[in-house]
Amino acid sequence: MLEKAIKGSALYWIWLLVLLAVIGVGFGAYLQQLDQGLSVTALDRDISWGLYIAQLTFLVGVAASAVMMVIPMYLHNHKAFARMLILGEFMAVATIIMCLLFVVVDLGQPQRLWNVVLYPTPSSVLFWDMVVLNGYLFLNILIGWVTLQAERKRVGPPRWIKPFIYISIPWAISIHTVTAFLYAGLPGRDFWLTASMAPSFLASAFAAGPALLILLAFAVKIFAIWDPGREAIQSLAKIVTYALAAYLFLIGCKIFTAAYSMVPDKLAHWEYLYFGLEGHTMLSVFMWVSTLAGVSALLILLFPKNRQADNILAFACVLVLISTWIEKGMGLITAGFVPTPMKEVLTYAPTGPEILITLGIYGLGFLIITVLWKVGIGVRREIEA
Amino acid sequence: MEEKAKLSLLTLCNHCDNPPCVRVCPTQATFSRDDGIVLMDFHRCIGCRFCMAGCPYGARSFNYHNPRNFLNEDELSHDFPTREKGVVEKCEFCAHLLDQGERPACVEAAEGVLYFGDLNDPESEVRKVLRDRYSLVRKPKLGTEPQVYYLI
Repeated sequence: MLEKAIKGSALYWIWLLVLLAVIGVGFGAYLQQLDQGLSVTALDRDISWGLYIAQLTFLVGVAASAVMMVIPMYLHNHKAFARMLILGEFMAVATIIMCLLFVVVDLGQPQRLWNVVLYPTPSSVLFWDMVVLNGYLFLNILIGWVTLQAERKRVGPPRWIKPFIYISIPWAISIHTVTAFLYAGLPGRDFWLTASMAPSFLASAFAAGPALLILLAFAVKIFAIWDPGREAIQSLAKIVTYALAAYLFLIGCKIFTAAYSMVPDKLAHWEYLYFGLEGHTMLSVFMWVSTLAGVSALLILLFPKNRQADNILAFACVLVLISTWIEKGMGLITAGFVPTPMKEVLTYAPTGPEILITLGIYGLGFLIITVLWKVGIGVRREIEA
Repeated sequence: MEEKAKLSLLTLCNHCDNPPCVRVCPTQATFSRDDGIVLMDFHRCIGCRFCMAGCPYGARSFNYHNPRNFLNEDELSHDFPTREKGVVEKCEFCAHLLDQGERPACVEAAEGVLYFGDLNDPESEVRKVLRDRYSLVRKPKLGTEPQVYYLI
């Protein structure tokens, strides 16, 4: 089936070349980081995770959201997703690969990565994150490829794949739960030390993932002239709306606990996040953008007429991505570290190399999505012709 | 209201009896030695910095740069292996000195202000001081069981 990826229009090849250029620049910046160490980043003793781990956190959610099509399709026989499911599974493959790369570029000694396997440590959540992320990558490649191959031969998927599909449902929940547990179990980080972390991770994931999928589906409609189906997109829009409401609700719950209890150690992080402390206000600008974007998107999406208009839906999806990307990325990570255990207030602003490496990984992710979707849509076209 | 006095304090690693940094490390590169000192294996550490997020005391740092860039070669002690970039650093209570029967460098330098010894030995100097004087540990509510006591 891969041969479908090497037959494309001029536009397809130009797009791939653009992505390759972005990847090349990012790789160059990474070579600089390998040489000079993480000193090329803006990370320091106090804010020791930043842009890279923020992307990991955000993208694990996007990957997990494929389950929001698998559940309706396989557990509720919602046929509208039949044509589009493969796109969700392939998007999960690309985003998980991005996640793993964001872990690798964050390491001070990446060549020792294998130590995680050589000295398996069940007490470490990072060990489990590695297990669930790689497992989910394997499941999605397997399920995506086998079901697509069966469709191409115009037969039903083989029976042995069904258990893998059912396992992939709790597995998808697990990847974002375990990622939330990276933070939620750390004593002394009051911003993260809350049971609502995993639920709020899942809520933002199921808003952000399907929102990205809707936007990519619109892109496919325009550039590949292949319609994933109106009903599928409308179902996804409803999922985004529900999940977005849950995501905003959970933020409200966290703010209530901090603001009403007035426990300084809890409250200070939220004050830093939304108002800034001691003149460090850069992050708060982003956070207001995030919150306003999220609330506006919800107000738009609540009305069915807005969801049914493609351009308004696309606009709302962009707002959802802006909101969740800031909140689940920079906001969550930086505010977890500030104020520091020494009660210091700092600002973290990523450096040029950090941004280029990040863009490079996104470039690779989009390259993988493009190639896999080209195959998926090519097979679909062949069947439907 | 009277302005609170500011005191300068040492905020070294607490060498917790229940250390979160050891719990979160994915490669067991940081570990509790039998004598209770929390150590690092600098050749196993992958530099993920999970221990830095896990430490509630801000007691860990990271070699963002190659440490040699900031060292004066003439003043180097050759008793101790050189460090490299990309690994986490921490106070080790000068374990290499302890192993030679000496005391940690900070205790030596502090000339009687810092006490060091075996908390499990009722006759040790530290136990005597803790019996006689009022002491605090940092953030006892977190259950990390620090083994560094601040004498009041």
